[in-house]
Amino acid sequence: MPEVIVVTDETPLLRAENLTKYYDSSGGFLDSLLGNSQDVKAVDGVDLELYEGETLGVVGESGCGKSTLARALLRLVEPTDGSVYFQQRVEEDGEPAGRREVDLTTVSSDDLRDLRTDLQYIFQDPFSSLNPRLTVGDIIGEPLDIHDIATGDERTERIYELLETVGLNPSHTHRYPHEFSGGQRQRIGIARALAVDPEVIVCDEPVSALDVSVQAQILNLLEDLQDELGLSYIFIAHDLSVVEHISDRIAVMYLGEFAEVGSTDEVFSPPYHPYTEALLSAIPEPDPLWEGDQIFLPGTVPSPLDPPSGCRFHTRCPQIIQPAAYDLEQDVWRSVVDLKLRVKDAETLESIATVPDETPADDATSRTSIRELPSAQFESVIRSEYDLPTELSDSSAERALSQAIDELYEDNVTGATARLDDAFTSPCEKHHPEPAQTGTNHRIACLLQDERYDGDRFEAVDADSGSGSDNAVADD
Amino acid sequence: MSLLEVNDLTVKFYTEEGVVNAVDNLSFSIDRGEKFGVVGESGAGKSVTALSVMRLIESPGHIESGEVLFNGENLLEMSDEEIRSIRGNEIAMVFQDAQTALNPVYTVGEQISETIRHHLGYDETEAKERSIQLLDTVGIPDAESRFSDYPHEFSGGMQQRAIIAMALSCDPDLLICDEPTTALDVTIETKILQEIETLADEFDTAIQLITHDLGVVADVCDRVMVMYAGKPVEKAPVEELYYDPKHPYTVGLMSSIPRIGDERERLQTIPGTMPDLVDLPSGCSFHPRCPYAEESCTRSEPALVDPETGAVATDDDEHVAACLEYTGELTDGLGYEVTVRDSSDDAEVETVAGAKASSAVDTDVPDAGGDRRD
Repeated sequence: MPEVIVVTDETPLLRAENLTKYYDSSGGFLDSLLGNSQDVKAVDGVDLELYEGETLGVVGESGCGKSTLARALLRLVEPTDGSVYFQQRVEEDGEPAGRREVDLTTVSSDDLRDLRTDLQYIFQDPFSSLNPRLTVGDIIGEPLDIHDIATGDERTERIYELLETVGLNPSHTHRYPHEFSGGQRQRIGIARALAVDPEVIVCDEPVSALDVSVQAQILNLLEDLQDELGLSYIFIAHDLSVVEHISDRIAVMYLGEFAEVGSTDEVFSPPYHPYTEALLSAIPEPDPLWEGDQIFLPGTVPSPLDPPSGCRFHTRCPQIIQPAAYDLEQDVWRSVVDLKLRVKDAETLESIATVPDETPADDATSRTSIRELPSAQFESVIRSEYDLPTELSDSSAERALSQAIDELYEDNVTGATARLDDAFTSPCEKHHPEPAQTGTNHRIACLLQDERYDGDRFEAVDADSGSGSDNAVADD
Repeated sequence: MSLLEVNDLTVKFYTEEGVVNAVDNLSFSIDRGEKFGVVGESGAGKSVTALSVMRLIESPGHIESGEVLFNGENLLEMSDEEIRSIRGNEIAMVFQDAQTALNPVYTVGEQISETIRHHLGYDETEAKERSIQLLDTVGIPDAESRFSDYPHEFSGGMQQRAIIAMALSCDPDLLICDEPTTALDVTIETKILQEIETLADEFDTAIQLITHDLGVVADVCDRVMVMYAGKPVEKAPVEELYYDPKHPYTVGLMSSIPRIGDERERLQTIPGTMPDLVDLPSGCSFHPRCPYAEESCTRSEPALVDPETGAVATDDDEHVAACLEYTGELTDGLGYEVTVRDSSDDAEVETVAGAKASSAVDTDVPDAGGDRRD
């Protein structure tokens, strides 16, 4: 297992700065003509470093932009903004002569093609990433032909060697991909990536389509190859235990941004980013007597079309910070925010709460609409839907909440939205968290780690004038 | 009497390459309200077993022999009409891929109501009311307006919830879940699993949970059956299976899971892959991949026995395994040990498969190994 790389003044092999990829989601020409275009912010200002010989794991839920990040890094999709610097090997008269820095986002396509011999990619799906009409030999031989690496007997020799390296039988050169199992196909994909003798391999969920036993074989193979060939990996996965096993450093991604970056040990021990903590608690342990405190995140990942303001995780964060004025129980506070967010998005009263089955006295099949309920019952339905106590412990918070509920009762959704917004706005909604240094190589982007947070209160220094600069993209 | 009793079920698929022995002489039973797990790699016959119970095996597949007793009645002998009234009504199924399980051209609500109208004879409005209630029960926010959404307007997790709502719509006695969370993120997975568990408790529904994830099984199930190449190799209550596994395959599966906080540099693997079901290895089908295999394993096929006594398994046995070790036919025994680490707040099980010094049988699988040949 490679040593944990301690960052010194060593230059990273691959470094991304403010890497950004927006997809245009407009329906086509007409939409763009009418100015209806909207951007899907798949990757939004990511900085990362990959050092020689290390494995950087990237984890996150589906839709968080992991795969887009991987592709943008190697310019398989054209990044919208930002740069990717790579230390390219330079050879003079066939002798290695140091390295020079190239920016992958600006090089010409010819140069990029040459760079593909240093930067390779392993795809998630071993079934669709191999051409079904080519034999295994031709699949692995293709990069050799394209980059003029080997021809004739030398080519055949190299293919045999590669097959053996990844643990396949060289006599299978003439077989087609469908004759292989999922794990074997993934080995073919690895052999193809190795053919050009690369330095960096981006592995995009290479084991998520495989059974556990086969998954373990592939993980071991990747580690052996790293030891043998000095490869550096960027390893994308959604399974934290897999990433923990293989990575030296881990980046946790949420909605196009890095929430936390650090060495494996740092990411897996406190201080946590609340999102990492929730992900960690969600892993099912293969132990029947294990009783973990699972943290349930409400809702799903919000749309990257219009990501939440401030901290993007605030809509689901169990540890969302309270305004300085209140002192509520944390879960009650979370419920208040849930109510607020729902009211904000609601078009009608019915979408805010539904009457539970027991409430209607008549037959079970006819459902009363929430607006037909008497005032007191209306209030209790709302409160129980969001797990709010009958009275908040803080009197001014209670006053604002019950006034908002009254407004809802009068079907004044806009009024209630304004009141809730006025009374309950978390600093997390206003301030974009900058990555805070919490260890030598450990950065957490969370206001809880911000120096303006004193363990209890978030003191925004002149909150109004300061919030402008907070929202600007600025992280180094 | 058990709710579901499968006896000596054999399913074969007649393909061009030959006869695939998908399920071979399989027996198990599920009690009312019990949560039963079926574990194994792809190709172990887990899904075929589930489909046989629903009688959904289609050509070229054929149920060769055996019986599937549900509440004492043999499903395999029922007429098409009778089986239709049971399917979706008394036995419901949650499929792995929610996206393909839902019909894209009907609204989600309509698809749930259809089941209710068909089986429970509700009229249009009653069925709609009930569907909305169900969507709300499985945790879909704003169920009333979501009722008329099409499947593509739902996220993956919500689609799976809708499928669960559909499965629960007729208050089934048995819910078969085929890898219900494999396609989902961990955060959604935990929520869906908990949903299934609470709903099953609430409706007193028995669950047959098919998965390859031992973490999921540990979380949900009471009893587990481990399958390999169409046969059960071990059946045990969940604690015994995890703390005292008896079959080398179970041990291999457990030790290949990467664990958080685990210091091992390499993962234990089960060398090779599942054998071709057209041409099963002689003797014990696991012998080419088993680190403890001996000469005798290539010759005689082990029966399911009680590991303590070596007597052939009966219905009363809680823990049974199919390995020659327990009938005294192995000379060197099984060399693994299970350590239960009890760290400060939670216990952890670590299963270490120790390789035996000399293996009598050559493992000639093309894909030989997590350990590469150099």
